[in-house]
Amino acid sequence: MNRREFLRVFGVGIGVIALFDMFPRIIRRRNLVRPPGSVVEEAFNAVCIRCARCIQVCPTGAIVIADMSDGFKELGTPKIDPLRGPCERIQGRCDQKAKCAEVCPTGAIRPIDRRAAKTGSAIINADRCIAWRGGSCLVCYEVCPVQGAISLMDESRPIFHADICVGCGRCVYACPAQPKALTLTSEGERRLWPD
Amino acid sequence: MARLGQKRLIRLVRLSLPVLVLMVVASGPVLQIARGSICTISLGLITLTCPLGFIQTSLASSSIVLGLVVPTATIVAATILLGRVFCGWICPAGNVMQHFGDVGRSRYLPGLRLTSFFQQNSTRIVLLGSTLVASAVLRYPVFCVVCPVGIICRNVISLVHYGSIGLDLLLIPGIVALELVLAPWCAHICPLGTTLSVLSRKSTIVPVIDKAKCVVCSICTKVCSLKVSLIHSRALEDCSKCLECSVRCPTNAIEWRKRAES
Repeated sequence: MNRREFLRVFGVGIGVIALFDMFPRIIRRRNLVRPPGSVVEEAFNAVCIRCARCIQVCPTGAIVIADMSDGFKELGTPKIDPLRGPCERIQGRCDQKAKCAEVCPTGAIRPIDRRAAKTGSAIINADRCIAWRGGSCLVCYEVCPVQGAISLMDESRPIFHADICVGCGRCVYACPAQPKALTLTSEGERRLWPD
Repeated sequence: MARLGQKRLIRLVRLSLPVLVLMVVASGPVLQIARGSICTISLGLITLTCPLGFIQTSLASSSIVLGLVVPTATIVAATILLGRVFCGWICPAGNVMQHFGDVGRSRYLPGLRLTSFFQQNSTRIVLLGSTLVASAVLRYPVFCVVCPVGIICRNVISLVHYGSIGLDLLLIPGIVALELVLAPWCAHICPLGTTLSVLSRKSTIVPVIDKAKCVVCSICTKVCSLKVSLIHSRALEDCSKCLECSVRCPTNAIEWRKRAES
């Protein structure tokens, strides 16, 4: 291979990769919600080997594989989809310790104190909420495992406190409104810096 | 007759072993035989990691991913000993690539490929190098994202666990199409294959032609999916020990020897 050929292949390769690198910025609207104990996003994308173990062990099926629509860099990494299941590290089927962190071979997800993990926060769209529209519904309030994350206005309408919410997605999963009044976002997430 | 039976048996095993591996991956948490996908798989106490995945994640994170050191070393040791056995017997993408690629090339697109360029050994080394540089610069494992092995494993897992497949599965026909235009994927492009080839430079068991029996029909070179030329003893580190050359040789002239003796 001579120098010209080498440069041509190299240029085309870099061009293709740069295009794919731009791709997520064009299509993605917000950051992904990662499993509890995940390292910061940049380090997460770098170190995750995309082996899908965390998906296999998640007892609630909350972890799914990020697809093309989540960005090229993120392709194959785990994300939490509260529509498939809630993250029950605080209360429920996960035995209060994050199984995904235990099986992660690369340290992209690390075993941490369950109280310290904040994967994001839930936000409410009052226009869709049954209670806010005058119906009677307390589902999100009842399933919330964290004291004070959801309070009730006039003992009926839920108010979400993003600073207390740990982002487990239980309320989103349980929300009976169609379409869902709640969405889980990565807003306010607390993540680890790798050493 | 015995040789025909042997040929069929070897083909059957070679086709069914990757399927079996995928079934083990799919049944992971249920049967407790294995955990993880081929990228990093735990079988009981043994954990194995893709060496290219280890290098890429280490480069991307500018650190050595400690949890993967021993699993990678195991694979490296196995590859040094056995060569690219993974490519011939375990890789689930290899079958797809070889079947569609070879059939498509020979039947529909003869001569369209830029093969002469891609057939040079330096090209695939540069491709592997570029992948590693890109991982370090862009800070994510660039090849892992598009790796056909990873894509197939992840989609099998997602199909079993929540019943849907991803759009990334479309990359597989994309790579097959690329292979039709460029060159055979496994032999000349696949960065994982190149990594394993580099590691198996000193692979102990290699096919050797018994010159007394050989009639120089070149069938062994034609049937080799990794384009190893036994007549010229060229590219022996690419041999995936698929045994196709031995069973197809009309005069039974191919022997498997330790490299030191050859």
